[in-house]
Amino acid sequence: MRTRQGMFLAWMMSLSLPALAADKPQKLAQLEKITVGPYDNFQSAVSDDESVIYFTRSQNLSSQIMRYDMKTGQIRAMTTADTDAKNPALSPNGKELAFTYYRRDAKGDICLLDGDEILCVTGPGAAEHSPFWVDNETLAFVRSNDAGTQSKLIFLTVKSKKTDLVIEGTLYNPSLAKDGRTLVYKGKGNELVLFDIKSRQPIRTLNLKLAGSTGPAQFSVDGQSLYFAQYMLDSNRDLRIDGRDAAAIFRIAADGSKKDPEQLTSLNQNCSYPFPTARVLYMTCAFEGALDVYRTSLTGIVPTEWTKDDLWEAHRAARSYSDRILLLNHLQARFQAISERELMERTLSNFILWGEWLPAAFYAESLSQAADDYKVHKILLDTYANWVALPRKENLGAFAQKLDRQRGQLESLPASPLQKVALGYMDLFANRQREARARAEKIESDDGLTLYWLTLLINLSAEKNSDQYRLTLEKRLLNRDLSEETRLYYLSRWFEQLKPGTDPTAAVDGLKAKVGQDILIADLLEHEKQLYRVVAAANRDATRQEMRAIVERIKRLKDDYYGMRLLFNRGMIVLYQAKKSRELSTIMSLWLTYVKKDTKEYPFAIEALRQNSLDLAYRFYHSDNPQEKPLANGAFMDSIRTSDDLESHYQYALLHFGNWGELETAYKSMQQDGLIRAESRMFVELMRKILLQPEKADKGDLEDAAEQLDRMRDDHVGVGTRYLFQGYLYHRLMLMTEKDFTFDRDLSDKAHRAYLFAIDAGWNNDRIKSSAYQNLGLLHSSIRNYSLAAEFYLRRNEMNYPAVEMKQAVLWLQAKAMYKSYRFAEASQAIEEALKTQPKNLLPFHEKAAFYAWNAQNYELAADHYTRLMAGLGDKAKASLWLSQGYVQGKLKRTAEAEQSLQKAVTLAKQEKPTRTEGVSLVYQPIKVQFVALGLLARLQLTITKKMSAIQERLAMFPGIMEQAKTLHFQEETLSAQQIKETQDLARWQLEAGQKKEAMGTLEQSLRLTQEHGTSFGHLAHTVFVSLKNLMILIRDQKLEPSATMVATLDKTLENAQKEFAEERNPAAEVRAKWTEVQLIALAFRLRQDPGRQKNFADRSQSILTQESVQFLEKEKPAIYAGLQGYREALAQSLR
Amino acid sequence: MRRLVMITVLSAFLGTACVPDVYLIDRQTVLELEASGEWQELDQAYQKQALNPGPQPLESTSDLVETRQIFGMTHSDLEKKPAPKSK
Repeated sequence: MRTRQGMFLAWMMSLSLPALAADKPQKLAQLEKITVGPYDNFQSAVSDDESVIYFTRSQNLSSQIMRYDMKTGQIRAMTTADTDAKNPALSPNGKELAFTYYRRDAKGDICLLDGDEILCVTGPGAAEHSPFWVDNETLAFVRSNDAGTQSKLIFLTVKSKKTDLVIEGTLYNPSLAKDGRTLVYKGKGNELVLFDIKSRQPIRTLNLKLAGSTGPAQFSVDGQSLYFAQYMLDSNRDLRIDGRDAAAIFRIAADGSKKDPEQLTSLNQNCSYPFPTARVLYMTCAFEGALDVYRTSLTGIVPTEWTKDDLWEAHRAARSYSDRILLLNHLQARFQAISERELMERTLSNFILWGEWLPAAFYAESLSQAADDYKVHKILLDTYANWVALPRKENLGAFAQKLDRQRGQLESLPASPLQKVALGYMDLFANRQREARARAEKIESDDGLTLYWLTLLINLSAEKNSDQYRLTLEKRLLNRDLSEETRLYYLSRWFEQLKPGTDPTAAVDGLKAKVGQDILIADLLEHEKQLYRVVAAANRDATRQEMRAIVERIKRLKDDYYGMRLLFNRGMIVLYQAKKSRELSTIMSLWLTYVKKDTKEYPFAIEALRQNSLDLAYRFYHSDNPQEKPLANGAFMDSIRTSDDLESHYQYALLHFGNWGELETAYKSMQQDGLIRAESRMFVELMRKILLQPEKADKGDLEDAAEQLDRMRDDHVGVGTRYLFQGYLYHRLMLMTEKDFTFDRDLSDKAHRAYLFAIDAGWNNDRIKSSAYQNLGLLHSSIRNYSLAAEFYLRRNEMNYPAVEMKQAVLWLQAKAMYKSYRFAEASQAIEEALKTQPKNLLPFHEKAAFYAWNAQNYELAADHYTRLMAGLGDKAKASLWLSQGYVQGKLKRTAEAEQSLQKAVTLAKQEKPTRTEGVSLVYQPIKVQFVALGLLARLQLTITKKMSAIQERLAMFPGIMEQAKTLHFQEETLSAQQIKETQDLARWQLEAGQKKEAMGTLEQSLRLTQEHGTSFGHLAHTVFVSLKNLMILIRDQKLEPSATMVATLDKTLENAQKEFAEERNPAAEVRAKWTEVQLIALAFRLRQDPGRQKNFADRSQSILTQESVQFLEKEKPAIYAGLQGYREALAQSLR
Repeated sequence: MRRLVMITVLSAFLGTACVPDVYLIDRQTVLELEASGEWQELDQAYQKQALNPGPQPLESTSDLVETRQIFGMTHSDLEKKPAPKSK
């Protein structure tokens, strides 16, 4: 069966695909990508020999100037990320780089790169920007007022710093021709002003009759043409068309001989910042997710070989209104095939059909002198744009006022169907759907565009009543006055109303009864029913019978372009939705058979076929039917034969690792027939070499393969797959060189870059993107760049998974990256999501879920997971897990449970041995678990006896713990401080338990430790101050009698502190305050048994506060000083 | 802030802070080692499993067939006048 299927398709393909190359291109040229995201890369400046490109990169809200070496592929930042920089401008000799820089002036300065230094040639105060070079010594730039409305063009001789004001007024984006004297800048409105800098006189002004706003312009190298960006769409729906909206590149004769500019790129490519070199046009475009630098021919993406007929044919086959606008421009600019008015009318229609109201309003305005209906259009488009931008669609405030004005204007115009439709829209915008609907029902028109508006109005005002909309669609598709293209457009919308997978017979028959003699519509309706019968067919014979009828219909309609297009579209969609894979492949093959290779439809058919072959192949691949699974081979092969797609090569080769002979024979034949490139064969051979036994591929194999892939062409269909494989090779090479915590940065950069290229090339391909994001997550986790890894995993998780096991793996890794980048709640969420997929072994997931949950302070959730985990592990649970559970239970105040868990941790830890885990330096240390568990036990609300027992056991461990502090990842100073604090805690508890003598001994021990701490870490340490204060307060409050030795030790420690304080040059305010407090408490401590203690304390403490060091606080830190006075008062009170 | 919170948690939990003063180990790794279970084999297996040399064989993607522009039908841009000549 597999062979039959494959052979049938192969035979079909071979009929129509003798070779890939064709004499004349049948589709618009593709843009060649130069830079790669995920950051925005824009504003290119290219060296004359095109070896180096400077551009602006925007990432993390900061923009930098980057240098891209086109020969080596190396990119480096020329400015640092801490200061914004943009507008790179390269001097004519390519040696100097100027740019706008924002370090000293938030408004912008003009600066130069001087070796590694940045030399600014303007100063703070005014906004200086848009630099360009007049010659190698003279730099030009614009100085603007704050609003940017008035500007001065200034020339500056770099060496002498001499400046020259050249122009003053409204000017934007100036640039100079290669002749060094003709300047172009954008003036008012959409004017491009040409200016002679030698004579200081304007040459001419080019008024551009284009919608939107004119952007940066550049002369061609020969100075004969001007390339400029025209922002034409209101992409961000802010009701303004400006530099933040979508643009296309245009070209116009600089001598003013032609008034109509030629459009070079399609608006849906969103290109601006043109930079023509002698050979090609560089620019910045944004249609693949981020802004990037691209290039294309100097004549743009419409092939220059195309005749008028080619352009009309491409216009008919175009799938986007954006491409139609581009093609109409060429029909007019190159062949004058349509009048200026027709161009405007058609452009207006395309913008309306595209839903781009603001540019449409421009053309309606331009046509408004010709007919009143264009005035109606203008009002309607303008109001519609405002309504779309309205967040909650409430008829209030400024919008309500505008609506009233617009309605008034509409009512003042002569009544016409379009005017009535527009008034219906005013009702709709005022949230009066019922009135809008009632008005719409009465309107009749014979104008196609009015009917389009009316249909849309009925759809928008129908609310939940879709019948009215469906009936309207029926009226349109049955309207014989409309063109076939438009009627089939409405029929396709009518088909969209059918619920996928349900029997359409009743609905179709209802419509068919109204069709009458319209054979085409009747045939297409019958086709829809037949497709459903194929879907519902009970057996092979029934399917075959229906498919035969479909083939007959195709034969009948083969000369009807729009009929065939809709027929195939429906076949592809319905059969795909119903998972009728084999029948779908038959339809696909038929389409290709009936589309001629030398037509503009052919590239669309090929692309549709490639996409559907792949979809189909993956359907077979995942099929539950074991007979269908092998059909994936045939479907991948179909895609290969159709388009030489690398993704299909990859999957086909993977399926043939065990049967390589068959693959080789097929590839040899396809290469001979010109169906695939030689590099496709090389690609699959490299795949086999590396992936057949991945663990056996050595460094040399990987390097060799990466080098060979580097030689592949970028215009290969499915090039994302090649970049993915190349990234994988660099990634593995990087892992090979990784040792402990070092790795080869160059290899990780190469892998990162290749994956990003894969994402860009596969921007609409989840299969490539999912792998690339996943690999990027792994790459950055392995080099401990967890924040970035977490971001990549998050993006990966937005897509589907090939199998649930993969989802579990990715979520596990994602949670880890989240945890390591301090995103605990998200780590917890990720692992919870993984748990929902029911992993085979639940325990690791419960353990991680518990751990991440307690890090996220979700202790209830953590406790729940620990309960399940411990139940699952039984006796196998290690001390560390009991410790974690005890900690969580303690947090939840479940004291008895916590005590039990922590005691278990202590007991088990005593039995466990240290175990090496990850890397060179990580060893699981049970002694630390025991130590920590005892600390936690001492903090629980237990009896004093239990607390004392725990803390005594822990204090006994301190000497040993201190000895191996580094191994245990403890800081010695912190350990020492902790020991002092806990010793004093013990003393307090002993006092509470009435063990006064033991308490004195413990306090004496804490003083000894404090003295040692001072010797090791300085007597001005916070710990020393706190310990001394606590000690003296405790002795005084509890009326204890310290021994002479103890008093001597205390005096000695205070003396050492005094000495160190005196040696301190400029102690911090906090140190001054703490030392003053210690002095005050020491005074109170010494006077505690003095009968005249109150007076003596008052006198002597005053002298403490008058010390120079304290006086400093009074002046500089009055709040701290006031605090000290308060402290003194409190001590004085306590002495009464 | 997050870091501070973590330090607090560590201090409360471990009774001290651990610092990477000798080895370049982040504190999260150390904490995970000490407080968490060991699933090294699983972790490594997942890393190996997740590294993909090529596109993932997803059965369905966000690029739905019925919404593909390639299968869209267009409305004529000049209804009032004769349709453009097509070859």
